[in-house]
Formats: sequence, structure tokens, C-alpha cells
Amino acid sequence: MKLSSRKGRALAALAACALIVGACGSDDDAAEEATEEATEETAAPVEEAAPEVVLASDDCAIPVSEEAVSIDVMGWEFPIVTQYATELKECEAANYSFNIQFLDSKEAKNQINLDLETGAPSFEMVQGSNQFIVELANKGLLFPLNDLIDKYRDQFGLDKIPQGMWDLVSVDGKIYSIPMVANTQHLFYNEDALNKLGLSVPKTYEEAIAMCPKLIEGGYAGFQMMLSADWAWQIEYDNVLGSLGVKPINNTTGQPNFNSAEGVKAAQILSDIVSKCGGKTIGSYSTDDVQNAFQTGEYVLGHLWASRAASMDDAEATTPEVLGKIKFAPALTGGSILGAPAYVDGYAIPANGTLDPEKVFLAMLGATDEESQMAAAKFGGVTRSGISNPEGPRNGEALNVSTSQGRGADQTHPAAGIYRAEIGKALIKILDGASPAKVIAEAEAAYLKEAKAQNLLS
Amino acid sequence: MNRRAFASFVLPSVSVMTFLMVIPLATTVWLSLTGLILRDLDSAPFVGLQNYREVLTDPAFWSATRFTLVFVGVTVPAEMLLGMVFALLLDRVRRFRSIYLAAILLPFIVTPVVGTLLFRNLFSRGGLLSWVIEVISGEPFVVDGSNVRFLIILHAIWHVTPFAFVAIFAGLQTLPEERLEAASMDGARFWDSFVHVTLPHLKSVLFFVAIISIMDSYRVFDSVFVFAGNRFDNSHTLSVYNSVVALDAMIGRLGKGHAIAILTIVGIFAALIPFLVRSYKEQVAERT
Repeated sequence: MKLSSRKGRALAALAACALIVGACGSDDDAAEEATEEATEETAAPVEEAAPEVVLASDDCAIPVSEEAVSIDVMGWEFPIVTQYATELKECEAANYSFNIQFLDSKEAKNQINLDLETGAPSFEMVQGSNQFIVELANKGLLFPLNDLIDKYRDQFGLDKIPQGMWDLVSVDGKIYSIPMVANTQHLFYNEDALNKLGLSVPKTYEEAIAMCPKLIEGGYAGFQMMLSADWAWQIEYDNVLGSLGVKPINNTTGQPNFNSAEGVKAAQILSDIVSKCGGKTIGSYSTDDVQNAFQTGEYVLGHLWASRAASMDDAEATTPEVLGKIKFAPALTGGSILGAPAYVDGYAIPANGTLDPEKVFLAMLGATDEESQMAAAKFGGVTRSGISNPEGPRNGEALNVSTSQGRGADQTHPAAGIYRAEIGKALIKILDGASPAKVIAEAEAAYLKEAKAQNLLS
Repeated sequence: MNRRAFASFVLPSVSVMTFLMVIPLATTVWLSLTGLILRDLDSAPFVGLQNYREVLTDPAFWSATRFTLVFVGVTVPAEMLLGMVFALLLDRVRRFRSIYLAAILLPFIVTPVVGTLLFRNLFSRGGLLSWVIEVISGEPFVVDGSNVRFLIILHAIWHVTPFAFVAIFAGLQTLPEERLEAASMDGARFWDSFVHVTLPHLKSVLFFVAIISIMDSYRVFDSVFVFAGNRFDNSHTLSVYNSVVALDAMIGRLGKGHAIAILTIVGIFAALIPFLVRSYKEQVAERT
């Protein structure tokens, strides 16, 4: 029986949610136990029921605030986040006003860190990935949301967000964000181009690299991924290393695992992608550029964020020859695990803000409720069970498989942020010809020095 | 002047200077002796000279120092030379002078960050100049570790030459025409007039331009940060290196950053003191 495309997509989205939940489980049993314990502690029934109030609108079903509420938001932008920003703006009907600022991810993180480190943050709301939210939470810079979540759990159907996703934005049982975007990376390919060259869809990094000469001879770019920023190198490296079955650091002690045979092999694979597939220009493509290159037919094979899949069907931004021709497959692997991360993105509230956290939380709820997620599902994966958009992307299966068989979420050890900063800074030197073994050794030395200086290793 | 009157004149400026310069400088010196880090602003343990030792043994510091010196050493003379050439050329132009003047000043008027972004885009993939280079060389051109220093210096010269130009051009307008005519009547050619009449007249202007340009180049931050960011650490100047060390989201070492700031201040003083001593001596000589 062949399902209609809309039903198929809806089912795929449902399956995606279910699988992401499974994949999002923490790899750290101790952390999981702590989360469960803390959840039990905080899950006590709320005696006080929410008062009867007038809701702002159907689009933002939160109470109208008696006094004007002004909220500064900082984050980074990609299509589904833009939609959530629109949803946030709809809450202006509740006597709120929003100043939403987007920078590139690295700058946004720096600005948020600097602002929150002051202890008197000027941003009332910040947006980020689980990786970043946990980094902030580890430093005590975010406001825990457990009590507010319990208070509004039923009213806003928060139980529809699976526990695995809450775990991704939790530290020691304290929840710091409402997950709103489910994301991973997987393979994008132009079916016509591969068929024309007689190439089949690769399953491993080695196969993809081996295809590059033929792709280039055929007038296309080789296998591509976004490698123009240090943070992107870190994510891709973690993907490859994770696919080889290795976590970069020990999640309990913080001791490094990455300067090993597998760690050097992972860096060598990325180096091969640069030298044999990407050419000189690979270091000059941002994520937007990679997306555009697929949309214009310049790229025909590469790894990209699942949140970019919907753009491949954007008739305004995709050339007619390519429109509908981009297909999706699970992420590549270096072994038995797929080189795909499990990410969620969400809004969070800085600690020590001057504004009542409940006011900010209500805006977060208004922008991420069922209606909002239904609209957002047009642009990518959302987090509530049972939500789908018939106009959503076609990458459901690739997203499901990549997430469920991928490397999982980024590590949550307090020193993991230092690892990410140092490995990214070191690996990007490969673009200028540095040897993989050398940059890995450099990264390990820098990581150990900094993590020891900050007393984060045990 | 009695003491009271003297104090009433001097105290306001001394107070302001103390508040705006002495206290921040003293705080910087103190913080440079602590292990203050961005993720824990509540504690600043005293670590003595450890930060200075770390900075002085950090290859990245010496790389940044070398590039800063190269940057100053190349951009300042180039800016002054080009500024002089443009000023001399425009001094001879009578028609549409204001249009040429505006055109030459344009790079300096543009906001530095915007100017840097525009300049960078010219050399980015798909940019006009990268396309020209690709057409000429047959190879795609991208900004990478091997050419980013050159491009940063090129941008600085493009951006700051108008400053040297406008100062020198203003100086040229104060040069009495009679002196040049007299030199000409004595048989002096252009070069003789330039060396023996124009250049001595512009001496104080050139000194001013050199001092300002050296200081500006030495502390250059915005254009290098925009151009290189965290991508090309071989092109970090001292200011960018300082910000990377002090303000990195995960590894912000504020104590070490303050030590770099102190060493940077020492460096600029070491570079400028010969100029300032010479200027002081000349002023004293002129008065006597």
C-alpha cells in the first residue's frame, strides 16, 4: 500500500520523534540516575492551580500581562528558529515586546556568555542547542525551570515532549530549556547527478571519499560538509569519532580519549575530505553556503543539518533543475555507528535576571506550544509527539535512522566545553595543511592544560 | 600664581585623569597578577607573575607580536607614502578637486567593520577580486592562512591612507606659494623643491601622522578580528590575541588577558618613547 506523500511525511515525523527520544538518552548512567532522582523530587504534585485568566490569542495562548513586558532575546538563526521567532512575536498580543537578535552561532554564544557571566544579564531569554545550554547550566548561568514546568505542564501539554529530550537540556535533574527543535546531520545527495555518473549512495566515509575523483571529473564538487568554522570542525570530528565508537572525553573524569588511534583516524578522514573532495574552497562555505550549493546544483553529495532539508523544496531558492531532486540518506559511518549527532534547540532563561522568570517562561510556552510547533514542523524536526506539518521536509527516514543509530548527544562533563573549543581551534588548521596527528596532539595538550587550570579533571 | 589657584586649575583634570586612567591602569596591573577567569568572576586568586610567565612562553603571543610589528612596519610607511603621493597630486589639481577629495576620503569615512566586510567580500568566494584572480591564475582564489596576512595589511593601507592624505594635504595648503616660486626661479626641479621646501614644511604634520598611525596600527583590532576571526590564528595581532585569550566563552582567562594588556602598553611606550623624547627636545630647542 502506498501512502500519500502528506500522510507519509506525517508518519515519518511521528517516527522521527519516537526515535530521537530513544537516541537522546544520556550516555552517562550516573547522570541519568541523578536526573531521575531529581525529577522525582521535583515532580511533586502542584497544589496551586493556575488562575483563570484571559489569554492573549489563539496564536499565543498565554495570559495577557497587566504590565508591559520587554524581552531581549539572543541566539543564532536557521529556518525553523526563524519560525519560532515569529511565534514569539505573536505573543506581543499579551502585552509583551521582543527584541530578537541573531548573530552567527559562535558570536551569539560569546555574547550570551559574556552577558550572563556579568551576573546581571541584559538578555531575558537566550536560544541555543542542548550542547550550549548544558555548558551555561554547568556554569550556573541559567534559571532552572522545573517548578514552572510542573506548574504549566498540563495547561501547555508539556508531557508531549518526550523525557529523552528534557534530559538533553538537564543537568543533575534540573531542566534549563523547553526543547523545541530536534536536529541531526545526515546525507544529502542529488539523485540525478549520482545516476548520471553511475554512482550509488555511499554508506561510509571511505566510500564517499573514494567517489570524489569521479564526482570532480564529472564536473561536480566532491563530497562536502561545512568546514569553515572551528565549531563545525568540532561537530564533524565528534561525528566521525563517534562513528568509530569513541567518546572524545571520559564523561565521568573528563580525561581525554581523543588522542588515540581512533582520534587520529577521525582527523585523517576529515583531512582526506578536505584534500581529496573539498578542494581549496571547502573552508569558505558557511552552512548557508552549503545549503545554497545544493539548491543550485553545485553540490551533489554531502553531510548537512537535517534542519536544512525543507529548504531543498523551496521553489524560490532552488533552481528548477534541482528542485525535488535532492534526496536524503542516513549519515555516513566510520564503523558501526552513524556519524550523526542528536541535538535539540530551545529557549532558556538566564539566572539572576531582573524580570520575573515566570513572565519569560510564559512567552517561551506561547512560542513553543502545539500550534507553534505545528507551524515550525514545516521547516524541520519539532519535539512534541504527534506534531507534523504536511508541507514539512521529506527527510523523515534519514533523520530517524541517523538519530537512532547515531553517536548521540554531545557530552555534558563540565570540561566538555573546553574540549570542544580546543579541538575546533586545532582541527581547523588542517585547512592550511597541518597534519592530523599533530593537531590532535596539540588539542590534547591545550585541553589538559586548560581543564587542569580550571580544576575540572578528576 | 598661589597654590590655591594652581590647585583649582589642576585638580579637575587630575581628578578626571585619575578616575579614567590611573585607577583603570592600577586595576589592570592588579588583575594581571590574579588567576581571574571568565567562568568564575567571584574569585581572583593572587598568582604573582604566573600570567606574565605564561604569556611570555606562549608561542601565540610571539606570533601575534611579530605580526603586529610587521603590520605597523608595513602599513605606517605605506600609508604615509601613498598619502603624500595623493596629496601632492591633488595639490596640482584645480578642476573637480572636491570630487577627487571625497573619493580619496571614502575608505576612511566608511565604518571600519563595514569597510572590512566589504573588503573581505571582494576576496571571498564569488567576490569581484577573487573572480579576477581566478580568471588570471586559472585557480580558484580563497582567503587562507597563506594570504590572509597580506590581505589584512592591504586593507589597512586602503582604509587609513586617507587619514595621512588629508593631514598632509592640509599641510600643503599652508605652504606659501612664494617659497615654491622662489625655489623654481633658483632652478630647483620638482624633486629639489620637494626635498628642500615641501618636506621641511610638512615635518610637524608628518610627525603627527606617524605617531597617530603607529598607535592606531599597534592597537588594531576590529579589521583583523572581522577578517581573521578565530579562523586564522597566524594573523592575530596583539589586541586580537588578547581578546581571544580573555573573552573566549569557555576558556576566558581574564587574568592572563590583563597581563597581555600590560605587556602591550609597555610595548607601545617602548615604540613611542624615542619619538616623544625627540619631539620634546625639538620643542625645547625651538623655545630657546
